[in-house]
Amino acid sequence: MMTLFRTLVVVLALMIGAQHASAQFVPTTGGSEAPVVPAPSPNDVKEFLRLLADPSIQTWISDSANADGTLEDAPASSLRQQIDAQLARIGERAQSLTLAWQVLPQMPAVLANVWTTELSTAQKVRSVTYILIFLLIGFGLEWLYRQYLRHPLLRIEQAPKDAPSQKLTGALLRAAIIFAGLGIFAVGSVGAFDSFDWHPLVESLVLDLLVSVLLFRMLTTISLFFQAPWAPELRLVPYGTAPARFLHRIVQVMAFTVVAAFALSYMLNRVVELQGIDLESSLATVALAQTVALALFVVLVAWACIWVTFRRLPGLCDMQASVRSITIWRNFLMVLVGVVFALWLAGLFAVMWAVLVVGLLVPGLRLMRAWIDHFFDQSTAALHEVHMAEAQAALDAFAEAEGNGELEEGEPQPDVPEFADPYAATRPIVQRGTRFLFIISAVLLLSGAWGVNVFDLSSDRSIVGRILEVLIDSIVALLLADLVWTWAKTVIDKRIADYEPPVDGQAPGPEARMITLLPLLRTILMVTLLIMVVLSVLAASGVNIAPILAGAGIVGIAIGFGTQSLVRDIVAGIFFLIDDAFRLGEYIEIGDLMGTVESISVRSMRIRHHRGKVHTIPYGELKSLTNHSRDWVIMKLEFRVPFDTDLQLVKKLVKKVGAELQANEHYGPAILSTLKSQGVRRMEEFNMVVGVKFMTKPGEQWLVRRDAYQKVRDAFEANGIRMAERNVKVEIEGGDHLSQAQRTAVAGAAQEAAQGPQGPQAPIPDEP
Amino acid sequence: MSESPVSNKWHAYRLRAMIGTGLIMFVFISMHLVNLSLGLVSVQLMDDWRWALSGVWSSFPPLKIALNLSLVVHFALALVSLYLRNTLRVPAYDMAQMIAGVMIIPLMAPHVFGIMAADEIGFEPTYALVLSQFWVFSPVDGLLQIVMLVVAWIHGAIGMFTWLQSRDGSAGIMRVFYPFVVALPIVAMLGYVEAGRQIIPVEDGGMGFVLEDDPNANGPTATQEEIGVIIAQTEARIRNVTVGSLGLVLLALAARWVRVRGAWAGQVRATYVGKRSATFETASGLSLLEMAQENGLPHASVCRGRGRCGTCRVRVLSGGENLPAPSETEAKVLAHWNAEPDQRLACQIKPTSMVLEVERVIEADYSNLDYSETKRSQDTQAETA
Repeated sequence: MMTLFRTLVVVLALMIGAQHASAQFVPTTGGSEAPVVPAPSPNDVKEFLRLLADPSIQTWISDSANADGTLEDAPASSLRQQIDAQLARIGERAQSLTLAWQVLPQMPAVLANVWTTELSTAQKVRSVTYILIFLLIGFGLEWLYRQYLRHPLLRIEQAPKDAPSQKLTGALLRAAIIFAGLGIFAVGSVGAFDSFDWHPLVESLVLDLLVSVLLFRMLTTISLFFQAPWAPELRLVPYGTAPARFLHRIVQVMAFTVVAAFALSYMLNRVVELQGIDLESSLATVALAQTVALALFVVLVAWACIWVTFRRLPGLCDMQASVRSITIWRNFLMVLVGVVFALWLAGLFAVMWAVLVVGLLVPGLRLMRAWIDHFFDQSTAALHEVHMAEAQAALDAFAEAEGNGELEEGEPQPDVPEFADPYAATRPIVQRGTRFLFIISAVLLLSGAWGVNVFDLSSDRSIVGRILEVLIDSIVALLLADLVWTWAKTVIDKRIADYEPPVDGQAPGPEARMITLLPLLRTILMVTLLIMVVLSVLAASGVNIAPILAGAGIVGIAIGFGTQSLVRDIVAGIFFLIDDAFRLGEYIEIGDLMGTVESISVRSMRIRHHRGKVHTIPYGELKSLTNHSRDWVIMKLEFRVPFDTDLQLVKKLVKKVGAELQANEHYGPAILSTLKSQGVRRMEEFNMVVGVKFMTKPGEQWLVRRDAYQKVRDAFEANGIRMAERNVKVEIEGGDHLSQAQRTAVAGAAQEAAQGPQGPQAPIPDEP
Repeated sequence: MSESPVSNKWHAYRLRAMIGTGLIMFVFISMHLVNLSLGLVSVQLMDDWRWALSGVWSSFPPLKIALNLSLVVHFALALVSLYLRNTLRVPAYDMAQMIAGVMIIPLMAPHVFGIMAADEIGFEPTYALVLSQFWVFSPVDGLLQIVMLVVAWIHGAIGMFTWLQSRDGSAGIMRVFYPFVVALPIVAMLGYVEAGRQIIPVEDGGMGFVLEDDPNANGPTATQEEIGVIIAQTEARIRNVTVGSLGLVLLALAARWVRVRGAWAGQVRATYVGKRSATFETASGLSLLEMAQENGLPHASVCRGRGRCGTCRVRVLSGGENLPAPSETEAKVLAHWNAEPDQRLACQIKPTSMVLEVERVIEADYSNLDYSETKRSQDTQAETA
């Protein structure tokens, strides 16, 4: 348990050490480097907390502060004073640099002196033995871990991957496995390190060494994650194996140089700190001298790496870029490194960071864009091939048909399928998203370098702070809005583009409803986003938007009252569309109005009566709506036959006609349930009513009805079944004696009596 | 380009002798490391068990002879296989084994001859004596012992791996062997460090341990002059052996260079068919497996080209008629896997000037490796059924 705790403490100390290492190049308010201070022990922290709680200390702190709560030396206020202070700092820096330059030649002797006086030869060699052993233990444990994961790792690396998500998952999984191995290495070596006795000087040096080894391995693992020099299936970057291996080596060299420089700078500073009293110059100067020498070394290596990279890389990945642009980019990067170094020498850390970030932002963004494009291109490459083959086949078929003269008139175009990119919607979103992250992290880095807390800007009253705040807020708002807009637009456009209008005679599918909604949604979204961006930019730049909002609110209320019915129409329309009550091209009935839905707008819809009349109906007016075009329609027909008809025969005949209708090539498929007899529906005075019915898809029933009537009639006639006719039998008692003229008169009167009271029949509803 | 049956037989014997001698030395090193790890308890315990764990190899003649013979034969055979290597761009494990193998003799000579010299001077090579030499008088040698331990262990462990892995159903053995191969040297190193801490004199920060009944308490039996002569002799021996072994390795490399330079001719164009098909052109003289590896093509190969495991099998789709018939070794392995007649071992075929089209039988990630395809398991299945 105790060992575990100690290990934890050591790991924590490692992390703190790493932060110290980065603090070396991070700007400090003073010009010169402060000597390295070891991290406070837990006891110190406790003591500090106790002191802070002490009332006498609190009084002293509040006394030494000014009335307004700031400490004595407030920063120079006027621009002139600031420039003076800056120049003075540069001058100081130059002086300490000169001193450092003079101290530099003495350094090796001093270090050798420390090394020999502090440790005996036996101790040194034993220390090296210990170091070797604890590194070996770490490596041994990691190797063991890797053996158990060898096959899963191999499978991840070798299995063919097409989709970018697959690639990314594989790469992430592999990175996780490697990082876990690194963790095991760290735990193993730190545990072994902890179990040995160390000389205090050696202990700190060894810890530095351990941190550097870990840091270096982490950096190379990150390079492995992106470049995967030995696993082409997992490579995320847009180039082949040869450049990946080359660049991986370059990254290794750079990582090694930087890590070694940091580690050495720390180790040397520690040694100097132990021995510093003997030197005539101050500790800070010596530390600076070492740091400068190491930084110079790093810069030289960086230049060499850039030079070699730009020399070798075009040949390795046969780039199409012109020699001129390559030279320009190379020189740009080299000058950037030089300028950054010069600024660092001059002690202008804030400017240095600004130059570095801005200088890397532009090429970084360009590379990022190309990279993501490639990522998707690579993933769709296989699909492209399939598509090309299909298109070629279609073209060949067309050419053949043309050659044989089989082409129909009016279809001169070959039917080439369009390429369906599965990432058409994802690609722009990923592009914008990464750009967003890139710019935001650059801004955060910059503001960190300038000592501005982005999240605490509102308390900063300086001009630079204000401008920065406005800029950052506006950029964030714009980028976010852009991100949302790009996403929505691509998704909506893709859905609209994918929509296939229904073929004539077929009922439109559910997509038709979305097609009516989506453009509306897009417009609403755009307007909302625009207003939000404008408002947030205004708010960020200090314009009080409360009056605008209030004004907009009042105007909104006024307009709202004025356009109550308009709003009601729009809202009702949205709900009708969501309910899927009607779609484009459907035949509907609203109260007395009926017709085909011709267009659906925001406020109203337009339906066309089958005789050409166009009705415009606001949605707000719709109470209920009858849709004739859904799923199926049942049509019932009636025939009047005399009482002496053979009903079995009728049934048989109707069945035969039903089969004929079903077999019809035009409307046959639209018949869901064909014509069948329902038997006698009712008896009337002079005849029986035989009912028949059939079910079709909406819109087809009229045609079927027409044919059904005709065919049934023909069949009845062919089989001797008469349709019942209205006839009046007049019986006159003893009428045998009537003359011809009297008979005619009686027949006329009887007919009049039979027809008279009935009047004209109501018209049968029209068919469209 | 066809190999005679004699050379085939000789090749099989050579492999077997290599494994046998290597095994003997691996057992020796393992026992020696177990002895070292006793240092975690005390130097006394180390020395109490010295006769059984280390001394037996020098006091019991059959074992002594076997060990010495193994060393000579293994080294000689290693030189031969170095000479026979077609390419020096080998997989990482082989490279590590090769480099470690070259380093072993120069690293080990001081230790071995030092112990022998102690014997001649009249000292019993107790752990107290040897450890104080390594930790107090000559810490550089102590450091070198660690390097030697690691180098020798890596060499031996890789050899063991290759041998074990190419046997069927190795997964079970490997589960035990992996932890063993890591744990033993770590425990031994920690034992070495702990023993060192005990042996270092008190004024130097140690515990100043002394053996209970030290056989060397009375000083050396040899006179001062004799000691000087013995030390000079020992140094000369160490130098000779170091220079000699390195010279032999260089000689083998030079001979190999001459052989390979004469052999390389012709261009081979090989195509791997599969989900990601690849084509490369390369000079002939290498085996197909080596060609693939040289061209960065992943390839399954458990025994790394020794013709034992059969995982590098390829289906030859075209160009197979130009290949010589399988050698005895290859035929045995192919029969073991019930391979179809168009299948060959990539590590055994050496395509000369021609166009070759092949397909991997076992994917590079071993995802379709199934040991039940072997003849033996099918036989047992048939018996049970």
